[in-house]
Amino acid sequence: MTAEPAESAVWERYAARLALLEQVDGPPAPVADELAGPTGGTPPFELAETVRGAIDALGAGGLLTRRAAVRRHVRDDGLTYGTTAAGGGRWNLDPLPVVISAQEWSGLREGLAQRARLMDAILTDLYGARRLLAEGVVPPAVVLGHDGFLQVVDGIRTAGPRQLVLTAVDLARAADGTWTVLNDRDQAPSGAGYAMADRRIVARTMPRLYREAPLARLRGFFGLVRDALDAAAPPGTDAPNVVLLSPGPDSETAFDQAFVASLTGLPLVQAEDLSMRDGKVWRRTTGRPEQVDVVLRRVDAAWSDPLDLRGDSRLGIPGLVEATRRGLVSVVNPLGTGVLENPGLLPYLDDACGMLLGEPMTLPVARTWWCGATGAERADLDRLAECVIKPISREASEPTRFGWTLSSGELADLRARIEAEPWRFVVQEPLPMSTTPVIGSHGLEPRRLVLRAFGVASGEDYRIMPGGLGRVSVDADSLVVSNALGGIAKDIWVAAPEPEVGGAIDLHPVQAHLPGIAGETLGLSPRVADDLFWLGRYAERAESTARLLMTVDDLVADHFGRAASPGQVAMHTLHQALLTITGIPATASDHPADDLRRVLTDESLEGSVAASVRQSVRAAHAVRELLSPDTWLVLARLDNAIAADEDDEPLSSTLRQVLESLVAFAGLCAENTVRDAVWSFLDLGRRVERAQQVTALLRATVLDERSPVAEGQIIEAVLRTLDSVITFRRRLGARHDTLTPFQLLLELVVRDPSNPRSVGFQAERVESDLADLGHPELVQVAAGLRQSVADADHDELSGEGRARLAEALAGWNTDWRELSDALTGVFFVRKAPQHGFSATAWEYGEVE
Amino acid sequence: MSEDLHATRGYEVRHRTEYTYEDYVTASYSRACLRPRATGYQRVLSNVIEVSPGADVLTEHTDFWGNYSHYLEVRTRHTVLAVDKTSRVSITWPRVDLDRLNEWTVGSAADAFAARPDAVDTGFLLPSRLVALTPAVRAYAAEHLPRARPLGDALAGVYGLIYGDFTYAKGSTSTTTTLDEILGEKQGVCQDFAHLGCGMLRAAGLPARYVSGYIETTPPPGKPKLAGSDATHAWVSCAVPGGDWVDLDPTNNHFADSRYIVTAWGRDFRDVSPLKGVIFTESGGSKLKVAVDVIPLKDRPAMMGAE
Repeated sequence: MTAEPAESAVWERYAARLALLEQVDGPPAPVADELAGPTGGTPPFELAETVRGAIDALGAGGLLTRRAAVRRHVRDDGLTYGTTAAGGGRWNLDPLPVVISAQEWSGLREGLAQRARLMDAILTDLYGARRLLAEGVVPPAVVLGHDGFLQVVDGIRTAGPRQLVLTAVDLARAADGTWTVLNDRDQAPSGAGYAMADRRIVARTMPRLYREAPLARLRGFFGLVRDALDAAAPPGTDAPNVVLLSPGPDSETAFDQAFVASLTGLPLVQAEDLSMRDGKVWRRTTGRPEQVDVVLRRVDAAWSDPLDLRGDSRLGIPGLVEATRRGLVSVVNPLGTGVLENPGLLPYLDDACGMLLGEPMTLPVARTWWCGATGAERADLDRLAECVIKPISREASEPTRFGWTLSSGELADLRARIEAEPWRFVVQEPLPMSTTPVIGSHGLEPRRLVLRAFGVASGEDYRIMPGGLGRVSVDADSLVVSNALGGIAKDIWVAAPEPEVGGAIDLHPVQAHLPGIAGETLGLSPRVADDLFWLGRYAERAESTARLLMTVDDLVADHFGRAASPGQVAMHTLHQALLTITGIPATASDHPADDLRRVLTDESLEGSVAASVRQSVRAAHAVRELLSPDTWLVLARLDNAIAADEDDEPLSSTLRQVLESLVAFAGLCAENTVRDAVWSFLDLGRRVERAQQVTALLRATVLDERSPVAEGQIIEAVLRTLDSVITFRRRLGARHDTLTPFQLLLELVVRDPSNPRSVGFQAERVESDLADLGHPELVQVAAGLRQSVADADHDELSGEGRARLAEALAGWNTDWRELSDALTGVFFVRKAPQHGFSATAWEYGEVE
Repeated sequence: MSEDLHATRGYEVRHRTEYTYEDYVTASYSRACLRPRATGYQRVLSNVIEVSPGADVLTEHTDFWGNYSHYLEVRTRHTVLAVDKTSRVSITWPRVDLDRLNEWTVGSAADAFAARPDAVDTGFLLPSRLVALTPAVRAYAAEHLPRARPLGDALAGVYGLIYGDFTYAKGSTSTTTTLDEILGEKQGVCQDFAHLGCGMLRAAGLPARYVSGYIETTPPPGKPKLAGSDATHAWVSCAVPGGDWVDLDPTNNHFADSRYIVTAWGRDFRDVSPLKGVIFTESGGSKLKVAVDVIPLKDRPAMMGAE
């Protein structure tokens, strides 16, 4: 009852803020609000009304809860933008969808499809007959002066009905309210994966609204993408082998790439995973190479071929341009598509549409002048202060500038640069754009909206994703929409003409769309196998270290400062063992707790739990498309637990949380991974690491003979670290034979193949993993290891002052290290380093 | 000397490029210009390409500028890669008609090109990676190529100016040297002088391209010509109104004649690199040996008619 007035206040306050925007100096006032309509009053149509109803029902508090929920989902889904190393790589998403009516969308969709056909025709012409230039429709310098125009791909035609397979267009509203093109983003379109991920999160966050809204679904678009890729394969290829070529996990849109790979069922590869042979592209695997027919390219064209394009690139495949010229592989979008991102083309598109398609262009374009034009088309440089000024090529040194933000001195400088090289620039009238509400800390805040729409070639035409990636400006007065600057994403809801049934697939978790990635037909690349192996190793290393830390922490709590306590020996021994095994030097501090905290949380120390966790996360990101989506949830918790550790908190509580997450991760691997090569390499990593950790622990603790009391405590500490205390006690109680506790320890943690923590168990598992991978020679090696552990004799090992034990442990340690090296040599073979060369010899002198 | 440099001449050009690596190369991918293009003045009588070890793939296509471009893939493990090209050409390069060119001025010619921009040649007006039209280049061009200067004199002035102002200095520059560096140091090799000539002409509004090829050299008087002592050469070609191109050689201070053998042309060296590539190897270093021989066929006129 009391909440009632406060709730309607949310909307009233928003309307008041919208009214303020009209009075701002500088950029034009927004033309309308997407939810409030042009007048700021009545919602423009029914779905908008539904969303406003939901906002009212949530009230200020409910909105903040939803915002927090979205942040949690973003983190748990591992939705990132920018590099993870840089830290601030989290994706920003607002829970409130932008709604577009079915009627408005149908007009926009037609316009976008026509634009896709036009861009395809322009692309075909510019790398073919070049009628546009020859007949003076487009000034040649617009094209020849653009760095997206690649002379080296001239004359190359990609198989399939269209040259342009995927399209992306940024749109905003013009003064008359119509959606108008700001930019084409066709070079290597990104963002469709983000749009799908946004939809899933918004659907989970606003479940009732989502259920009740008659919405067009996005999932089908990715099926069309897959079909289009297949259709682009060289003629005569059945069941084409398609890959998604990524710059790697450090690329800004790595999430988008991996998610699109999942949604389309494509292996995600890097240059390292491909090679050129006989003019064809091959995917390297741990077994036989597989010929690649179609490359979905997310590496920028300039970096795709170090032979014919940028020679310093390590992200491309030398000879790729030649392979496409010979039609032996298709690259999508084709190398050279970047020429379409040229804003210098915009003034000439109407005429180009008339010439190439024989029809008028329907989708309006922001009013643009190419500065190189003469006569009536000449740009009016006196108006720079009111305009947006862009270089035709995207250059780091020459960003887009907004005339009204520049001082008169800056304007004069810019004008001089334009006059010196007019062909390099365009001048564009700013679009007023529309606003849309985002949830801020103090209610709804208006932000200007840019809509990225996606299209895909389908048969003879194009299909447009019914929705897209909404992005808003960093603040209400700004027209700058940039992910790099922390822009916020919006889900775009397009009202379906009629309610659809069976659309619930949008809510399915990601792994439902991982058909056959790791299946029998597709081998893993050596790089991926390597990352999986090390993911297993680092996760196990983090877990072993955390367990040992737990033991030492307990011993310190019980015995530190009690000089007379017999537990002192065990405490010192285990403390030393921890430092020896992790390779981390002791601190100058008197209290062991300082060492322990460093071993847990200091990421800069190789061997610390934090460092191993970071390496696991790195490896996981490198193979993200192969892992269960729950992985990110567990890894996020793990990160948080370590980051949240405070010096005055007891170490044990942090440790417990860390260990819980690591156990959860191990469980996730064990229970959510199909038993194929992905599992084999993950498991090999875990087993090899665990065997080495166990041997190292024994070497560091039990080689010296000590008093029975001290030895008893050390044995118990070792058993606790290896989670084998309970079994030990049960067996010790039940034994009627003559095994000493020490011999029983060895039996349990070295030989016993039924104890998942024993060396013998690891050897059996490695043998079986290698058998699954089909490598008989390595199976033999593993079998030998298993046998040598099984043949170990307690009597012998526990006698002779433990010299025999020391020898055996050292031997096994070497064996396991060699096994790891052998795996690297067989499965993780990297390409030899790449070098460029250019032969010149200017030996020439003068002639008479 | 009264020798007619514009009469028909025949040459055999032998060009060998040899790389020696310190360790095995497992895969080598190259892009090369291994066949001279035909021009209005040049006929290609024969062309033979040999690669050792044998190429797994050797393809040829005609590039954006009309040059022959070759892709070479060698996957036989090797420590020495050798590419040999032997071309026979016949050249009849007429004398430049200065009087006709002088009917134009630099300004009137530039205006003619600006009025009817051509779909390919516009590319030779714009700056390129190695021909950046920096303020220094523009100033140098404005000083020496004023709009009122008769076109023929201006073109002769470009080679004369560079020949006079700059020192030929082997090894002073590399394939990435910029025009500003050359203007600053006042020295370079033929490649640099060709880039500078292109830059001046483009800054003046005249389409100019970089030409890669060879030239017949004569040994110092009384000395025999040594095998492998010739080299690749580079010069400038400038478009003039009416669709013709005039080739000028700032390194040697004259217009081109029948001793000039054209391989390919482009915006700058990067478009027509004789041989460049990518290799996969653990090797840390390599040694390059290039040997070029330009042999007149005048002693064997029978070969000139052969196709």
